[in-house]
Amino acid sequence: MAATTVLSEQEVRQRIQRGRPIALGLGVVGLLVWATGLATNPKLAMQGYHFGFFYWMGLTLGCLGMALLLHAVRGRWGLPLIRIFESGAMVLMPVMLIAFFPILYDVFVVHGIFEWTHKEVVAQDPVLQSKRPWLNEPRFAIAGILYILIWAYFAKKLWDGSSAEDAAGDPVKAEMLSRQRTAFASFGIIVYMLTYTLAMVDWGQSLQPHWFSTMYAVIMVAGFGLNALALALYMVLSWRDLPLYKPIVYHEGYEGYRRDWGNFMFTLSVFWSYVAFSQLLIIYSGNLPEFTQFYLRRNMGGWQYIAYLIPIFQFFVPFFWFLAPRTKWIPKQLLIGVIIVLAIRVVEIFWQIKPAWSETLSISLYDIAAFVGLGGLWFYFMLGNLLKRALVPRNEPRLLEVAH
Amino acid sequence: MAHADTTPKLYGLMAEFETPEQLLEAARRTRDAGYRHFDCYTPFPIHGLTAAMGVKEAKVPWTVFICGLLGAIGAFTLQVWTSVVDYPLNIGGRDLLSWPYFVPITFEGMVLAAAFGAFFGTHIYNRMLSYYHPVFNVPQFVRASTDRFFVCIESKDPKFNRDETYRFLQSLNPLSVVEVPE
Repeated sequence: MAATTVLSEQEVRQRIQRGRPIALGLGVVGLLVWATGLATNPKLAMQGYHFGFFYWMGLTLGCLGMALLLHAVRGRWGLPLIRIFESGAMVLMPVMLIAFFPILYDVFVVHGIFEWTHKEVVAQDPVLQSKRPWLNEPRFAIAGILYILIWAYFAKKLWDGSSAEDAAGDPVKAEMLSRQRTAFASFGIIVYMLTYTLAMVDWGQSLQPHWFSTMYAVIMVAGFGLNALALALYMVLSWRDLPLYKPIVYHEGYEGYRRDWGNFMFTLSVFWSYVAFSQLLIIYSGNLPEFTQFYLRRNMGGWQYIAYLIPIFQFFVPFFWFLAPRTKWIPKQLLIGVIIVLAIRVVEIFWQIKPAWSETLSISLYDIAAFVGLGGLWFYFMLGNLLKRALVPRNEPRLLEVAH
Repeated sequence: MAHADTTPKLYGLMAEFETPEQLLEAARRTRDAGYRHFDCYTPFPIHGLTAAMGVKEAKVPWTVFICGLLGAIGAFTLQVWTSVVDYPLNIGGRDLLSWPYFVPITFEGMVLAAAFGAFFGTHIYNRMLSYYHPVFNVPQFVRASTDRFFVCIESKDPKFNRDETYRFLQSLNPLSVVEVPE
């Protein structure tokens, strides 16, 4: 009854092994190009780095969130994806922790990213002075490291639990282990949401330190959850003709995994739209200067064109695309929708982050270099994690049935 | 005085099966034999039955979709008409066409119309709220809700012929084939 005998992983592993050096190469080249910026224009370079860090950290957290959710609800739809989420979440330690230190370098030395680290600005600004108890450098550093350690703890526990199931030997014991973990994962979701909210105050909202929004963290949770799901589906659907994933992707029992996947893409896209639009509506209704500055900045100077793209490609197109039953039946069509979402996610995060420093639409070489560099490293380690274990859970009766 | 014909008209012929597999096979062969007006009756949903019967895409989802779209367009248009054209009011100096305000109502209009589409669509297409159906004239049919599977070919099918259809249903190896009076 062993899954390994039925589901051959050979070809997928070869693909991953071929992809890793490319990712590493992109990562090293990207970071080297970015490092030249440290000498010529350190502030601009650090801003580019923050965009890259924010995106890849968000994606890591999206993977962690999806892993927590899957371990809590034990959904059948997620079984072929869970190892990808766990591998993504494990990039937290040590890679994302190390990637956080350049941000600290900026906070203490360069002062390119956060306005509230400028002593002379704060000295003339009573509002920022009143925010000093939270927005100060040592607190920022300690809290940031603490968030990452807490998340890494949950990522590691889920990873270990999942590995223990593989080692359990028989499906009954694996099932017991999996059930025992639901309480831990549910608790993890609470901790995740609380720490995530604080981290988003630090890393996202404090870029415009006068501005704040209670919806911001939820927008990011939904958006990066969608992002992580899209990434996992991109991988699985790209490998749909390889022996391991072919019976999974084309499985037609319960009308197929891909129907659930498409529906979940639809759900997360709509949820993101709901919270993102709510923030706009609340700020638009309130019409107060400290709130409207966020959208004012992002709705002029060229940024408005990107502002139009985002609802089109992250709401309207996915809405109709994933609503159609045909999309969920034809893997290639599902894959196209997933790629659209992956592309617009990068654009949206750029639009969320970059206008904090630039009133007109602009993109610097360092934005691209840091994004590619961190992304290359992220994939190098994520794919490495993926190769460490079976690519899909063993001893899982709900997954074994597709092999028959 | 001539009496009216009191012999009941024939609604169709019904075959009774013991397993879902037999029913699937019977449904497939009935479709392949060219029958179009026939239906299957099962105690629980059977995966692949609609495909075996050759049922085309369901109408309810499209009805819901179109109703939802019309509801959204209608609600948005209503708000534009009232607050831009018919009774323009300056509220806090905002644009008359303050579309973010219109979105919640547009959404609600879509949900309401889509729900009506689902409710009435289901009723109309499934001919619900009909108090009589001929299949219940067959005594065995009570078991359709517990452990038996039925195929009924209706007499309105152009290919229907009492003797030929009877022989065809017999060829499917059912437990029994019975006439269903109107």
